[in-house]
Amino acid sequence: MKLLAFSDVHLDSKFGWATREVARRQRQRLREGVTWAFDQARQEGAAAVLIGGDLFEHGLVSPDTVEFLRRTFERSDLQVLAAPGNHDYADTESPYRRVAWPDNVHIFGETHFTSRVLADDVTIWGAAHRKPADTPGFFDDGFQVEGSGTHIAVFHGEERNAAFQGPHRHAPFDSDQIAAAGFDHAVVGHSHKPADRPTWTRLGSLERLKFNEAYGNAVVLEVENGEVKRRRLDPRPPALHSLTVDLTEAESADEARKRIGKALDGLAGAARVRLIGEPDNLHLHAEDFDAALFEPPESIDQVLVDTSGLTSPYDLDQIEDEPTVRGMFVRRVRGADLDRETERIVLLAGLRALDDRDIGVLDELRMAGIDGDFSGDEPLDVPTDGAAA
Amino acid sequence: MKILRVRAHEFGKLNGELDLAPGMTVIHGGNEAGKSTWLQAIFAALCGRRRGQGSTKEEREFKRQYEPWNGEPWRATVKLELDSKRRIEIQQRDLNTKESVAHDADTGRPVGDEVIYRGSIDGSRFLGLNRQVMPSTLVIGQGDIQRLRQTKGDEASALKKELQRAAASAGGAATAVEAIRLLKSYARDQIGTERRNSTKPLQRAVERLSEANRELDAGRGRQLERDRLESGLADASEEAERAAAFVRGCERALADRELRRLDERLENIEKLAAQFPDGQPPEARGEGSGAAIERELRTALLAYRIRPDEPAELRGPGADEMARELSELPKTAVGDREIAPEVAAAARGWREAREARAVRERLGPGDAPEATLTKAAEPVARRALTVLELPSPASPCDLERRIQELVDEQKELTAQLEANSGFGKWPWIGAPAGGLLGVLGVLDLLPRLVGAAGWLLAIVCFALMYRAQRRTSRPRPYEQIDRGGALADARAELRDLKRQHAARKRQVEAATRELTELGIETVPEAVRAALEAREKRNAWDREQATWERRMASARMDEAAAEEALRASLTDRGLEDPRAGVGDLFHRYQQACRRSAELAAGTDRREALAARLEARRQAERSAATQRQNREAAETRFRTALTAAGFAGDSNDDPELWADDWLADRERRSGQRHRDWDRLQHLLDGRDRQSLLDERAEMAATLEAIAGAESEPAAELQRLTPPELERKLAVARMEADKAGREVSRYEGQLAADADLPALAELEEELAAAEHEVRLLRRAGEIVGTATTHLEAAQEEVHRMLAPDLRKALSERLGLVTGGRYSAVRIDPEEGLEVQLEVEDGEYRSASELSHGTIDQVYLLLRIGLAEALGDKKESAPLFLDDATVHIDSDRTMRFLDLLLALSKERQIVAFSQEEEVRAWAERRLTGDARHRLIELGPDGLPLQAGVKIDPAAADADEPEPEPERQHSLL
Repeated sequence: MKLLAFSDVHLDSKFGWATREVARRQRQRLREGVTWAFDQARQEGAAAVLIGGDLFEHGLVSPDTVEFLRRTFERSDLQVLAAPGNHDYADTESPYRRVAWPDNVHIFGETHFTSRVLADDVTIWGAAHRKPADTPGFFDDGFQVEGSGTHIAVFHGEERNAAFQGPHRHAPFDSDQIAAAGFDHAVVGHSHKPADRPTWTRLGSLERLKFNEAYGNAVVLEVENGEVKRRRLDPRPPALHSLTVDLTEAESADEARKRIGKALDGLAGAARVRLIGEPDNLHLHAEDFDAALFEPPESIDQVLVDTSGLTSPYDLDQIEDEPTVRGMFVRRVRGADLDRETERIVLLAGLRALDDRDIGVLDELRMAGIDGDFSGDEPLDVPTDGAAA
Repeated sequence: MKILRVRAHEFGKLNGELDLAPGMTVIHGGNEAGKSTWLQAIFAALCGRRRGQGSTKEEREFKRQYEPWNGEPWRATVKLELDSKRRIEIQQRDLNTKESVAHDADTGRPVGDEVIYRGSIDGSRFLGLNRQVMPSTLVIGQGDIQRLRQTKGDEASALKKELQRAAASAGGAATAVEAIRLLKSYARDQIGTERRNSTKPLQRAVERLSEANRELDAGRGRQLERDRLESGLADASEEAERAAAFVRGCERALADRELRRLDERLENIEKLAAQFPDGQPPEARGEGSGAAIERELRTALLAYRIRPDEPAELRGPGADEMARELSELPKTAVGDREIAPEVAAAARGWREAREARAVRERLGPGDAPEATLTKAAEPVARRALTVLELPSPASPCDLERRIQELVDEQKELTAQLEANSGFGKWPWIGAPAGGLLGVLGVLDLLPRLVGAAGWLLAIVCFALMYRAQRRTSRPRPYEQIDRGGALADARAELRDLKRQHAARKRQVEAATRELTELGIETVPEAVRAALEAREKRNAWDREQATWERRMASARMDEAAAEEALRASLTDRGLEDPRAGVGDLFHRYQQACRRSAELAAGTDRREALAARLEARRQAERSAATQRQNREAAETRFRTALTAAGFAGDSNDDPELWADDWLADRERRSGQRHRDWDRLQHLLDGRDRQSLLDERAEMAATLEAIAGAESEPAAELQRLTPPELERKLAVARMEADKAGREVSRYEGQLAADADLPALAELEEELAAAEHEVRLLRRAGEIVGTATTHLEAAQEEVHRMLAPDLRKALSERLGLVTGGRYSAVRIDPEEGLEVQLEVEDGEYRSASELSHGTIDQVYLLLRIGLAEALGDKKESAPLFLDDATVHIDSDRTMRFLDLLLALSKERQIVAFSQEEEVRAWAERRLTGDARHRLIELGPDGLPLQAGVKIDPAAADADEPEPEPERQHSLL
């Protein structure tokens, strides 16, 4: 028997960094991921599809998306077994409990493991989050599987002792608890970075949800004679890219745009471009990368430019030595208790003012990635690298 | 510090040395002579180039301008003397690789460690400056002095501003005050404040955030409403399902009954089908066995009943006799019996045309009247008559008499005039005579006395002649003029009259000649009679022409009418081109009359023929009637025999036939009704399909009964009407539940444009981000402003004493003792104030323009000292600093520089001729100063030494770690 498992699709996520159109396209791509996963399940001849939580965003999921899922599940003609996670927790308002799912769909709605027996003496166990945080570990009550055959768990949880320890508990577990509970294997959602462990599989997110983030893909489990074999499908091409472009000796915004455009060639989706190097006294503005001036390759929906990596056009060490107001200003700012990025922009503002040039503080803030949360590093309070060190 | 010598090696266009005087050096050269290159070479040799990663735009531009492009080493060397008389040589051995050495020029010991700055040797460190600050601190360029004059009338303010600019960034673009203003302006315009009435970005972002929050709340509200609707839909769907189930129960009960009815139907079908074993319908009436007999009997019976009676016997002559009589009557006439209408019309037209032509012929103009004159001679005669009837001109006799009277009056007036003028003709005689006597006396031919008397006589006569002449030359009297005019008029009138008489005579002669040629008497009456006769003849001619035109038209009409008549007769078969149309018409009339007479004789023949035909018809009809009667009787007998009527039966054959036919019809109708009933029960289907339907219905019912046995059993107990009513109510409830479902579905569909919460969240996040960003930008700009204000105040406070000291020490050089003290206020942005005699401080704005230039120069020197470490006297460089100021100010400026050269080295680059002249005048002969004229190659004309780069390289000793050799 074959089973296909995936998790962390986060349908209807918000993409704060994106324009409205690009955000819609990103959300559409998440849907396409689900469709693709079910296509793969059919092609693999899987008997069931296991979903390890965070299929959608609880507070944001639209009726249209719920209908999309219902229709996709129904048309697949496969057994669908879903374990709600902390982002699609199964409270009374959840679509998991409000919607009349087709007969081939089973939602594990309890906060402890319950089972569903499939053919070939294979039993799938699953449990649900019913709140966004503080869900106790599913193994912490000494759970043990019952019955014969092969036992496979699907749930959403974070591994204890992992590099990431979030502020909330999301059904934590120890790696050895899985085998101890009698499971032959477990597929686990939550962390977006995939990992293949001997007794369990961290599925990872189905799509890349943040720039510069690892992501996983669907996993095929093959159960034969009580033995579980695991095979990870090739990941889909990402729609979010993070790249670095060197602007050394670039003399104009046009030159910067050309270099960025060249770096983006062949990519599709949205990209965050970190600019580095020593441009030639170049002061970039946010408008330099507006649609009116910047035409990235056609397959690129949106480009976010981060200028925080550019070398300052001012030799601050040298200026600091000056017995002038400028030198005094630099000395004072450097001596103030400012964080590094604030100090950089304060210095730029003052020195540009003394040069009678555009202050450009807003441009620096918009493009310097100073507000990293907004530029794509946080739609989700989940670890991107929750693997044990 | 004094720069003694600079050597440039492949530095731009320069390859040579420049020796600078310890006091003031004026380096003069035209545009592109290399002045700026020398200045750059001095700084490059002194300060070197920055080591470190990357390069600024300025550094790349410097390299582009001055680096040799032929691959030769790029070097610069400077020898300088410190105030301590220590001489230092700095060699920039490779400005590309920034390799440099510095050593004591006298001892050769390396001194690079003393002046190392940012990885390379920087000679400006001896001054307490560095390579970045030094050029802007020690060089006064073209724009510096000029900017002082840009704010006309406010040079003091400009002075303060320039001082601030120099203090702010050692030559930066803006002063600290301007920079602070720029920052505040940015904060005000690009960020703004969070006030309700603000239109700036921060307030707009705050409002956007509020709007996004409202939108999100509304979106969440709609989401909750949608959840409620979905729950309602689920409940309504459940209710609808229940109602539908009850309807299905009712329907099942009814179906049960239907199954039973189907069983009955199948039973009846079985019974009826037995009557039609072959499955074929009964024969239609008139078909099948015995049908032909029945049909024939029915037909024969009917024919027998309506058979014709025996025909009556015919009276009168027979058909043969009437035919014989008819053959003896005459034949029918041929042709028109009366004149055809079209022929009659054509004949009428022809006759009218012919009559019209005859009348026209009779109405001709008659005979032509006699006329003597031809038509051509008529104008001649008319002209001659005019001449003859003209009146004769007046007689000239009266006019001649009048002329004579006027001549006489003229003569009389002339005589009176001459009489008034003197002695008549005597003076004319006396004068020549006196003259003659005088001449003769002169010739001594006469006595002198006579001669003298003769002269006297001549003189008197001349005097009289002169007098007469004067009188006659006066204007003539009016009467004489009037008489002369009248005489001239009369004579002209007489001439005209004579011309008229001559012309009249010629005309009469010509008219007489023409009339004679025409044979007419030359009297007007005869001519007039001839003209009247001619006019009558003209009138007759016009009438004759009109009559002839009308005659031609009448003849044409007659010919056309004749042709039409002939054509109509031809149509009636009468054609003879040689005969006249009148004859033809007459022949046609004759023929018509003959035909009419013949037709009258054949009318009786037609009546007889009609009677003959009627007789023959009556005879044929009687024969047919008799045959039909016999045939009907025979057919009826045959049909009765075929139907089984016994020949010896005493029954009435007609009654027997009626009974036989009625019995047969009754039996056939019953069979057809059975067939129709069977077909009605089958209803277009066969028995097998009904059996299949029954089996299927039974199976369905069994299945439903299994699932919902109790309601079905309950419903089964109801009577059919009760069940029908129950079903109707159930259906109504199901419809109601369905409508409720539809209503929810409709509301949900209407709510289909539910805004995506993700998008609303994104908008909220974007708005929050914008507010956060703007607030943060405000904080950053505020921090920068605070630090800049503090830095400005601190630097100004630091600089003010040094500047005041520097200016005070040298104030006597520029104000001639008028000002005794200087005050520079750091609180007022380094405003300069001078103390006048009464101890009162006044603004520098009261100084003259030239003095302000000089004060600025002193302040720059003070600034250089303040920015440096004050241990060394910094040289001052002027790069065409006076190019934009007038001669007077230039001279004063140069004089001050010369005075300042006692304390520090002054190097002035200039392209101005007057500066060169000043230098020749003031510097020549003094060893402390020097005027250098640059040649086209950028090298000094007098003392410059053009070096051979190769030789220089060859001469260059290998550097030793401890001791360096001078290149200069």
